Amino acid sequence: MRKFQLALHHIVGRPLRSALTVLGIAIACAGSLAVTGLIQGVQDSLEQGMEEPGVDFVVGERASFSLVGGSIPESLAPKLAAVSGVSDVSGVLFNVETVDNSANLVVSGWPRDSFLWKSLDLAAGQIPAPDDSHGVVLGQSIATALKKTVGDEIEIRFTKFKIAGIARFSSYLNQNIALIPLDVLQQFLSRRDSVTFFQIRLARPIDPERASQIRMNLAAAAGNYQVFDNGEFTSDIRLIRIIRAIADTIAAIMLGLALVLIATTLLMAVNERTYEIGVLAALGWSDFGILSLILLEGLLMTAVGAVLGLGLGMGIMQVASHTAVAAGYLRPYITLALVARTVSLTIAIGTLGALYPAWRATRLDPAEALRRQ
Amino acid sequence: MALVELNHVRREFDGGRVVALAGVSLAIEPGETLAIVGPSGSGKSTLLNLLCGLDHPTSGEVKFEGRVICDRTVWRRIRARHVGIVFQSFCLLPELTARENIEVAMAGNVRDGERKERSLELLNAVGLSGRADHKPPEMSGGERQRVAIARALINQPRLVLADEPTGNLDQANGRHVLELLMDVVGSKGAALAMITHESAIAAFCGRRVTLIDGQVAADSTHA
Repeated sequence: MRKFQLALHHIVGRPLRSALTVLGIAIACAGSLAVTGLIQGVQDSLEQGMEEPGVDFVVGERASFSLVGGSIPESLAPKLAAVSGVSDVSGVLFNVETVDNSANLVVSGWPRDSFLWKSLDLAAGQIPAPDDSHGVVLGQSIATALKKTVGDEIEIRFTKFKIAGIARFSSYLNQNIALIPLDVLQQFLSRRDSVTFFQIRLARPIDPERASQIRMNLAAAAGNYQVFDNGEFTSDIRLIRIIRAIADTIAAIMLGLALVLIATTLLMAVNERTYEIGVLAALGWSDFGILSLILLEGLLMTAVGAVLGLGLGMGIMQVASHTAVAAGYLRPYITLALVARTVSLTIAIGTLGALYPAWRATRLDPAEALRRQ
Repeated sequence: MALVELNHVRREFDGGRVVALAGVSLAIEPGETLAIVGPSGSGKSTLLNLLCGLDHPTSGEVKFEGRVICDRTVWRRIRARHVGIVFQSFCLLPELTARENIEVAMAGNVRDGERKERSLELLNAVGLSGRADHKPPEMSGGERQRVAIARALINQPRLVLADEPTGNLDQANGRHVLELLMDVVGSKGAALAMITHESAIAAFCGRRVTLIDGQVAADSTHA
């Protein structure tokens, strides 16, 4: 009889305990996947959102605390635009505001002549006219969620704006954004002549070596500010790093609990099955044979728990992304790498948890174990 | 060369307060059948455990095929390949079927098909071909004992150890099981050491060793 079948017999033979253990592992795996996935989703949304209009570099503050925390003088724009190989430069003022006294919304201010406006794919309406001081363009998802269309009014921080256009975006961040001319937003936020960061597009075609050279020249022009690519910029935001650290800690605690759970379950199983393990040892099963049998039991339960946990984790992400406070920020985010990481971590934890009980099983004295019948 | 040999073996428990065996020397030759008799507490089960490395002597040495064996891993390998044990209480795993109980003792890398074939062959030999898929709790004492015997013989052992193999059986079943054991052991040329309380059963064996107070009180060979 194969060890696999024997391990399966033991698991199925104690259905309630096995089911509870698998459920515990699944919850730990799901929690780990959800917290990691949601925060990676936020970071990925930001990165995609920055990249979407064809932006190559970002000039911003070093280790800015949050995406909205940077403050750079708008006057830096001409210096950056003067760098050879730079096609377009646009200051961007970023903030998070309350909309219609209910939801939170990312509001982005773009200069009226910015290349960013030209990159918009409008689903309806138009960009705000040069003399329009209350026009706003909404991302299609947030417009749908708020049931707004062109011509409707929207209240941003208790000030009424009129929806001039609705734009299509592929990134989650931009689908839930409100775009306002920079001068209007600067006045609105009392941040005259200041932007959060600059987005820079290079002249096409882009040669990697040339891009690297341009980046160095931009760094020289930027003075105390730093030049990032889109990924570096989002991962350099301190708030995201803090949230990632918190998410990693929570994930580690959850997986630690799974380790304790599997160790407890298997220790109980080994104690209960002292006689059976004694029989196997008396029949000549090697230490490795007994060790691998218990490990296999742990692995089987962990593997089932991990698979269930993946489904559960995706469900948790769905629920979390639909809560009022998280709408527009959090989204279910799952990649092959994240799945592989979560499953391999869960299985490694399960194996680790099974090691001690398995070792204990090999230490049983068969003659003593057989007396326990 | 003796198949298995005990030299001046002493086995104490509870830090020397209980002496189960007090300097026993005994050799079992290949093909020999041996009955171990004696009153309760005379050290019979301890002796059987020492013969297959399930227990270890406090002093003295145990040899298998001329080699002193101290390492429990080596003993496990010997038990897996060369020793078949029929326990008094059967020691079958209750959640496995009769066939699976036999397969679980099968040593080496054997294909699934061959495992099944060999275990069914042995179940047939012990008259249980129709009970292969039954679990021990669904079987009578005699049937369970026969499964235990089939399991002990699955690896064609050179030494079969049996602790009162007929102790839980009625007279007819006991006799049947014993004849079966003798037949299978005899046909394979294996040695058999069997604990029994009954003289009639002991008479089936070529040699009788009597233990009293942990010592060999008599060691006789029948014609």
